[in-house]
Amino acid sequence: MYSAIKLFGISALLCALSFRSNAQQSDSLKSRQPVWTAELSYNLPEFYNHGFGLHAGYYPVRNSWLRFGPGIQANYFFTPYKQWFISNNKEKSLISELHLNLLANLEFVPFRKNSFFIGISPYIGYEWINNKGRVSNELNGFDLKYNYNVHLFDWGTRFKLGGYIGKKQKYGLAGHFQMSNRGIADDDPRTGFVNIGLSDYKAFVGLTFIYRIK
Amino acid sequence: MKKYIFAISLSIMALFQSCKKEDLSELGVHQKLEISSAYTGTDYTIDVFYPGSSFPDSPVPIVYVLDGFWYREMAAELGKELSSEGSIPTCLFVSIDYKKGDGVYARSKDLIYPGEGVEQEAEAPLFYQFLKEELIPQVESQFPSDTSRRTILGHSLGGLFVLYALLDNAEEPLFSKIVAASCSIGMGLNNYLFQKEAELAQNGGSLDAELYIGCGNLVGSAPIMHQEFYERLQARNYPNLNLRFELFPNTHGTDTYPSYKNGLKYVFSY
Repeated sequence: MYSAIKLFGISALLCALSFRSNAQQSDSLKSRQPVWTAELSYNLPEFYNHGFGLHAGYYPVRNSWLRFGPGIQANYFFTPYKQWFISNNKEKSLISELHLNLLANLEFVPFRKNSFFIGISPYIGYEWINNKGRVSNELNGFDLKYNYNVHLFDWGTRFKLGGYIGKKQKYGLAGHFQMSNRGIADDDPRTGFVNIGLSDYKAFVGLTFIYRIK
Repeated sequence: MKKYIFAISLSIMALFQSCKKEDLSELGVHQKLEISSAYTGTDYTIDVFYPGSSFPDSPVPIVYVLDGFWYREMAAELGKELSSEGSIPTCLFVSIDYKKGDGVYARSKDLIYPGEGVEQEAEAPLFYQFLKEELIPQVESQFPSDTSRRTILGHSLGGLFVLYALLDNAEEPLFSKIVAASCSIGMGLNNYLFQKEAELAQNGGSLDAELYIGCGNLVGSAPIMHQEFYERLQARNYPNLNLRFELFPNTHGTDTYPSYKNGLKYVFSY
């Protein structure tokens, strides 16, 4: 938790520094910055687990170098049944995940052109994971149905590299890496800042299509 | 621009500075042993850890940790934490690693028992002989040990190994306290752990152990199969088997810690 507080603090400091030094930037550069965005993402945590995400961003604080504002995000992931061992078990299963996050989006525009930006977004959120299925084996004499639900509070960071395209810069594309950082604050010595392949400490890469509403 | 780069660098450094894993020597005393097994033909590196300022001079329980390359620090931290709060006695932890550093791959040969539908190399009976005839005698000749409370921790294939080894050696169990976490319970064409247990019960066998089984409930069908296996053991009423089962809101990668923690507390409560 300590690192997350530091991250938020440093982000806020960056914003303050930026706006003090860039107050004299021209209005025309500032006006090119998006105010409202909607994003659709394809997310890939592992090869057999993937999903989609929606994100809405609002950037009330803008100058030619930088924009900052809140965002909301909903991600859905699913993991279909995968047979790990040769087996006579008859099995169906699906692990579904829904993540709802609040983000603080900080995007740097280093060349003062929206065709390239770098984003960092700390987030907090809620995660619901459902593991549902059925497994049976005639020889062992069992036929078992299951439905497990896990609810988690989550926090982490999203990194983004992207740019707006076209003359009007109405659309954009970005690549992102998002990860839960909760592992640094829990008791488990094996979880850390980034945890690949764990749905309860999700980390994933993805591609985002951005639509600039305003 | 420079100040942005500086600030971003600071942010990234601050984020990455966190490191939770502690070195064994910071937690207590630590010694490495090397053993070449005539049974498995493998060279092992063994980490012996004791959460004190020196190794014990009177007998203590010894906890053997499979897949030491993943779990030695976790086991050591749990050993220190749980013994300092009085939940378990102060134990010696013996973590098994592979000298070549290829444990991630080499482990499966050692931990899987052969059976119908098992296609990979499966030499767990030889690994069991290594434990019984080579590792345990060497460790227990070097360190004062309470052999009546010999304990083993296994996760995933390690969990499969500790359960199968218990069923396969029920007449003369090597370990009296067993923690099996998120076991590869579906191994074998018809889940050979279930078949092995049914055979034992049909032959009038008994189990003499404190056994803890833990699993995350985000591991596909594994949690319900663990529960079914537990309920079958319970239903047999093995007179000398003390048994506990727990589910955790975790995946296969994160159910080790709560399983080992609660498992150690449970098996040492007897």
